[in-house]
Amino acid sequence: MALIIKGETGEWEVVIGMEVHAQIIANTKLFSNAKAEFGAAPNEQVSFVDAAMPGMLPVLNYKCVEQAVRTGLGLNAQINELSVFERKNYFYPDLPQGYQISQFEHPIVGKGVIEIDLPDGTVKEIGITRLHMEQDAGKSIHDQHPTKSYVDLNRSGCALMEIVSEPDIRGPEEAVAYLSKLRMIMRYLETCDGNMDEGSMRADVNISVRKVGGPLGTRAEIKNVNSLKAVTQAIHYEAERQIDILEEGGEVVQETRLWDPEKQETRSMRSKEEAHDYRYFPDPDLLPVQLQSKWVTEIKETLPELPDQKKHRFMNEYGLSLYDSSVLIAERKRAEYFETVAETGGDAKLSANWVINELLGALNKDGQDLEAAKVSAKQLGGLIALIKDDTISGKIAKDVFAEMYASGKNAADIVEEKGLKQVTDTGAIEVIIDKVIAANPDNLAKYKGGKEQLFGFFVGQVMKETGGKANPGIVNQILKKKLNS
Amino acid sequence: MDSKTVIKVANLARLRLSGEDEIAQRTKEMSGIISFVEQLQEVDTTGIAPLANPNDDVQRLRDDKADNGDTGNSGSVRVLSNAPESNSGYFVVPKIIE
Repeated sequence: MALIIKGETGEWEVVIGMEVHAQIIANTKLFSNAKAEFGAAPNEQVSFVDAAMPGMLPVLNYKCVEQAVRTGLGLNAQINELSVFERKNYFYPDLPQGYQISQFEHPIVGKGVIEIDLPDGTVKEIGITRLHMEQDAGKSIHDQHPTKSYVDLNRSGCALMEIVSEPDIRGPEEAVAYLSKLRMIMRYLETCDGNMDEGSMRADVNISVRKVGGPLGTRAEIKNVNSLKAVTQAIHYEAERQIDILEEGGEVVQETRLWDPEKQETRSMRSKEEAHDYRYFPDPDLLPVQLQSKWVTEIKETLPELPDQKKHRFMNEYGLSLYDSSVLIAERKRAEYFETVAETGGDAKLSANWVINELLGALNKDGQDLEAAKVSAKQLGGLIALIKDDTISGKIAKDVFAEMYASGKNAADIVEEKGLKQVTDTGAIEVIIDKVIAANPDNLAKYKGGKEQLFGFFVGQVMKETGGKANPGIVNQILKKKLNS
Repeated sequence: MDSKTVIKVANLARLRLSGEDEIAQRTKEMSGIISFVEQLQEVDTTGIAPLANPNDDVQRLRDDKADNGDTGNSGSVRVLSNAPESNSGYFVVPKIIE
């Protein structure tokens, strides 16, 4: 849903484009054979190439190219068979080369499109402008010494994909939905782990405001937005800031701003502006990257079913709602779990309800994820099957589930042990109904006198007598007949 | 090519120019380079794709295999031994103030 902000002079709309840096899953770095693992001791994974020692030459990692192509295909994007690495020149101690090897005029992936799922149950398409490969920089630490900075080059040279969106995003909800979907796609593809805490997925947010339907405004680029919460907060803050400036007759300056999560504000990074003249030129150490179309086709054949495809299939094949489908596809394992439950249980809609409301609900309450569940998909499917064939009622099933969730036992065993089998024997139910009616002559008289809401009272009494095990449909049927006779 | 541009480019490239004389000299040299390039630009290149590299080949790719000889603990010691200053495994540089 688009965010509309009411100002003094009218209604404003927020226009957002995103640049996402995603670390490519690979064993080694983009141009060197040093390990690309997270969490090593400082400078333990630094080759002479990463430290930019004189005479070292970059050699492109096959896997990184493959991962970039895979991601491009997952974004329904154009794959460019020819792409060129260029040097982006700037000076900073965590960039020992004095330039970042990136792609500029000829990125490996061109225009694409993905669907985002919004909280109000609608779907929106967001355009992808491009995806290119580039090197990550190292890390500087400024608080270890009063006059020195410390530099760790482990991250220096790790492969990144920069994914740029079209300015199609209209508010924090859409921005969060976009990032979530992008993360989901890359996790399905296993090209990036999407871990924002560890910095393997980072977002820069380009924000401008305009009067609803009016011409585009000047944008500011917000950096250091490192969580979904920060994205929401930074967009709200920055939009209000720009509207205030414009409504007071001022102009928004095109600049890079830093999100400060402590102070909850964005502020200008003037130092970045001077260095904005990056003087890109093709890297003479690297030749153009030429992809064989056969190879691209081969990669395409190895793609898994992607989140949006899965979502549409769940809606079409199983008749699930958009909401249920988008919850189930959020993780590949979750979707697989659901499909096994549905297959074993024989009822997809019922299975979706149980997976989402009972299982995920319980896990969520315990702060656990699906991996930690004691109930396997087959076991939950077994429970659904028992509901389906009327062995137990839905109400009893909740108790059975609680025990399965705690112990990991099979539903059928729990039902057997505790004697929870639903009573569907009409003769037995009739006997109990007769007993209940005989025991409540007053209420029977009132019911016959027109107080029909007492029907529920009788149902309750029968269920109580049977320990909740009587089949509610049969109870209703017989009871109605008896009371009205 | 004027002296203002030369000063800007020198600043971007972190080159120190020693004074008016050097700025004047570099301006003259760079003007020479620019006019040489202008001469090249007179050649009609319509319909010819820009050349990214004079080497008429495509990029060779490397397997995604880590080389332990070049990294790991010993690698860190080796790479740090090139640093003028280091501490606790970090390169140490003059404070960078953002």
